[in-house]
Amino acid sequence: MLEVVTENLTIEYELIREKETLTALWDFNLTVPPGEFLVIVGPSGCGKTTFINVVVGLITPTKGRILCGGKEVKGPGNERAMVFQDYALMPWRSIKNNVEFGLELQGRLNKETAKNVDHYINLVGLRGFEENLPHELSGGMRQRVGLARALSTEPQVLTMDEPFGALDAMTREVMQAEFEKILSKTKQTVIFITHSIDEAITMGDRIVVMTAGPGRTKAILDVNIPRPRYDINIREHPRYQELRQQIWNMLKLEQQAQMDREAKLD
Amino acid sequence: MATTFGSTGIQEIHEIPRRRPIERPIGWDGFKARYGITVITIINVTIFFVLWEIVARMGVVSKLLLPPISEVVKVTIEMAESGELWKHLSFSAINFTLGFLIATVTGIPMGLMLGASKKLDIIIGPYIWALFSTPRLALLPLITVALGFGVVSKVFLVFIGAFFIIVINTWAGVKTVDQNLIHAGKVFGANRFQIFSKVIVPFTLPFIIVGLRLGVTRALVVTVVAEMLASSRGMGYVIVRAADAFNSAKLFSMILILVIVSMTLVTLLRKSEEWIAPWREKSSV
Repeated sequence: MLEVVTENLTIEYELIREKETLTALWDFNLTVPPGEFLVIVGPSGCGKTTFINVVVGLITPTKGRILCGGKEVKGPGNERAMVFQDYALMPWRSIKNNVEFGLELQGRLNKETAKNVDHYINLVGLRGFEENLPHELSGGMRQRVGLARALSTEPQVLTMDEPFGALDAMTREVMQAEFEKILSKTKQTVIFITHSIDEAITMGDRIVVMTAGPGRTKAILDVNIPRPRYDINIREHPRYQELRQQIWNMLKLEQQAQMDREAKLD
Repeated sequence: MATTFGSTGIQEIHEIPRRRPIERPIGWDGFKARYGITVITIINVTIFFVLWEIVARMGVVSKLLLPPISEVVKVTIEMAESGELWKHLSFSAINFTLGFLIATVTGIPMGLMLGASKKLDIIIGPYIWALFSTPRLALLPLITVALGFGVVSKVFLVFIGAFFIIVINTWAGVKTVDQNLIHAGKVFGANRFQIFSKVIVPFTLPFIIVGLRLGVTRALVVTVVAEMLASSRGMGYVIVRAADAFNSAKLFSMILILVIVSMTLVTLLRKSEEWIAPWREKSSV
């Protein structure tokens, strides 16, 4: 588990058709200590997906930089992995081959690491489905494959971009509990993005609330609720209620600000 | 054992195992399941030919327009025995096969490269679209003059017929690749070549097969038409001579053979489409 330090990060996109520069992040600073489960919530368009894409090396910063374990991030790396919102599984590969995908690309697939693959397929509860194809699995199962794929590379930093966004409400809650169980065993530094306040409080050690775009940190809250939290009664915990109220109020303001900003642009 | 709560109280139900081997029916049901469709098709086609024979012999339609199937078969056998069938079929077969194979072997890589490289797309793209949009038959006289009456000009025409559609379908396949998959590749450290070979090419495979399927029908058409217009051998030639001589049975014989060949190839390709990409919705065309 490595720490992630963001220094003065600015990301600008060029919108060719509108002939405008869109600033997704502006002078963004954030430090994630090693092993922490950090959740980022914010209104749509606040730049949280952009941020996570920079952490994982898919986007290069316009200004500023990100350091992972002290080294500047210049592109993708073995120590950082991602779980995608729409799973991003290769539909022609079996579950086993999908989980091996990361290791294969990194050239690290051998007899030793193959045992890892089996271990993680087991851990996410998909033993017996190794030879199935993704289209034969449900959404929740596919996301578990995505998690197993990311974990197999044994990353130091795991980023998750609204991993449960495409799932129905019940599956979502079940998956939250499962992921919390699994990730508490594997102990990476996790950066998790969500729209759901409940999800944020259930899963995170700390919550970063972002402002409307270009996003900055509006507030950083320590959750301070003991784990395990996958209990139906967790919602009644006083701290849970307190956090929920605070975040809800902040997000409501920011969501409104975002909509106003977009209305002005029209 | 699971428990359910019904309005009449607690019911015990047996647990149904999640996975169990497929139950194969036996006896009459088994026969129906396995061979049902085949049997129906055989009966269906037999009835079709029987009706053909009856209607043709009834004299309702002129014998020129609808020769009885028995005569078609007779003529075919005569041609086979005299060696005429082989002479013409082999010519067409060579033209089609060579032209189509060359189109496949050059078209697929070309399509892949055009999709992968923006530069190639800009430079070569316009020529591909231009030639694709040109009616090939307009080029026929030019090519015949340049390459003669024989195999070479035919192969070249067939090649042109199939090449562009294979290129364009492959190209479209590459362009359509789900961006998420490419991101996933990049995140896990794939270099450009790996993205190409492990993400783009497998994704494009079903598109390639569609391109081949469309190319097959075009290639067959071009083979026959080219032989009709500028050849002294081949199925197209036989068709034209038979039409001139009002020999409908011979004409139908060629048509029937073409239908059988075409159906076989297209069915093979459609099956391979399903086999290669079971995750895609089956195309209805």
